[in-house]
Amino acid sequence: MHSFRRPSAWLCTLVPLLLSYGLAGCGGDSGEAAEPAPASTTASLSTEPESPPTASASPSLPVIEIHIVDGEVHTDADRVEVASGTTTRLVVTSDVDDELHIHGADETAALVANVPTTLEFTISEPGTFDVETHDSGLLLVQLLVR
Amino acid sequence: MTRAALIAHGVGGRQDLPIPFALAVLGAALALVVSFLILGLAWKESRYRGDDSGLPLPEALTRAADSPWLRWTLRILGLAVAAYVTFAAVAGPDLATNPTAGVVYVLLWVGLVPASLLLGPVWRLVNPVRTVHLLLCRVLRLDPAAGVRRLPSWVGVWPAAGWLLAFTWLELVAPDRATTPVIRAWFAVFVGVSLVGAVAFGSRWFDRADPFEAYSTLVGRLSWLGRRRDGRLVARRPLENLDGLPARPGLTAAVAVLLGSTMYDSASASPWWARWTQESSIGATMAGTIGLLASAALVYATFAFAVWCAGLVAGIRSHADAFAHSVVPIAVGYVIAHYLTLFVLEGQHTLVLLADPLGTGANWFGLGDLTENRWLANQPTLVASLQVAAIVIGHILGIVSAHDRAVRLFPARRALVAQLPLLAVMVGYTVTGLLLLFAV
Repeated sequence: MHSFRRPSAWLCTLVPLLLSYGLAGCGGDSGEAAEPAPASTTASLSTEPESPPTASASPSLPVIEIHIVDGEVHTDADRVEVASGTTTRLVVTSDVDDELHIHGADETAALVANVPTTLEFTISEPGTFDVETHDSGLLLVQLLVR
Repeated sequence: MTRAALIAHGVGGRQDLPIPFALAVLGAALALVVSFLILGLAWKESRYRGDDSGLPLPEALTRAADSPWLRWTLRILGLAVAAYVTFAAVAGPDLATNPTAGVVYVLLWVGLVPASLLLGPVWRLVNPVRTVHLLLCRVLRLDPAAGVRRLPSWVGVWPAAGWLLAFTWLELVAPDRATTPVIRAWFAVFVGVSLVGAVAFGSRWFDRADPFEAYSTLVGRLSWLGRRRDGRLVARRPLENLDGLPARPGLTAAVAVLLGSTMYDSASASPWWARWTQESSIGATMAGTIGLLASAALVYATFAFAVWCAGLVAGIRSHADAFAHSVVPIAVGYVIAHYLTLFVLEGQHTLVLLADPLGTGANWFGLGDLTENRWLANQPTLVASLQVAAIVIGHILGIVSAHDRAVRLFPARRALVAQLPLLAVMVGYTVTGLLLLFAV
């Protein structure tokens, strides 16, 4: 009489449906990431008073450039897609002394006023990571690591 | 310097990736279709009998659960853990390696959800503040249940709603909220007010005001384990358990704070929110306070309005508190979606930090030897699927609960139409939740 007597029966069909959709439909590369690696990062850091960042050694790296002027953040995008395990170069110029930090990846670098600071980092765990300044507490950009 | 900004955040470093758009749409479509299916096909007379229902578990189990030795073991355990964490909070260095923030925001606040889903309202059994009050009463030879005055019934769980808001403000908005001085200050005020309240109104104050007990009680109503009116432990369907949640004044406010605060947490992690607060002149704390209050108020207002509309259609005045239980599964589904990875990853990390409460390199209880398993962090597709599943399942349970309550309270021929406003507002919460997971 009531074809919908037991919500639990519906749930039993819904959950696998959702899960199978998610696993089959939009991804497929999760199997390769099975290695239980910690959010390991590697970074190198340089503060270059003279040479602009474009002139440095490996120009093929993806570059995220950020300027901080009067407490305002200027970037091309609020969010940047970063491939997991790929080295990316962050170039930050602030008009005040500060500290640069990639939250969740434990990368920090000192920012000297009006001097472009380059931080090369590699994040090998998927997730959303905030790039921020410590003293002024600004969110500069979010990294979507996939 | 480093310290100051690590704590602009709460706990935890990485956040989950946004869920794929297709998954968000699928979830929303499922929620919508199933909502109308339930409305059209589900039972026409109330089936839930709340606290009268359930399959009795062996009497020995009830006796064991109620035995003084178990009760006192749990109380002493609660006191011991609280003392240990207080020691870390007071004597430990105020660094990111201090376990206090992780214990409070992850193990306690988020951990209450799985613990209560599994075993019901567990926090009242271990609540250290309740135990302190009990011990004080024993020493002074007073009855812990009796206060100086009776708590008027119109007060309901409004104090709990207020304390829930106060705690979520600490968790999500307060400046330097992951530092030990801030957490210590909040808990000093909280414990002080709780003890005064318990002396004034008896131990019932904890039932009605303690945010952790309130949270555990609400979530525990979705457990398979329940207690019959005669005290017997029973196994029962979660929605039947939820049906027994008393519709006390303030219930709507309490669930609105739970759902609204989680939505605020999601929204405030977005770059757009950060830009807006960074560029506004009112400052991050004021903006956060307004955002949190507005989120909770919006959930409260929309739900109260929907129930008012439903009553109008049905021709019966009904109060939002009579339907507020049906928001609990929606809030819990969203909490699971939002905090699942945080709980698994930061929970493990906090356990390791607990090995060294003073930052001296100690390894107490061998906790420092635990290896953190970060498998889940590397499964973004699985996580996204679980997030959407939790939200959609919470939504369906909410719709079914509201349906059963509607056919009980409303006259039969109007009951179906009268549910449409409730359905609309729940679809709204669910779609908002999915949107936040997709966009933030």
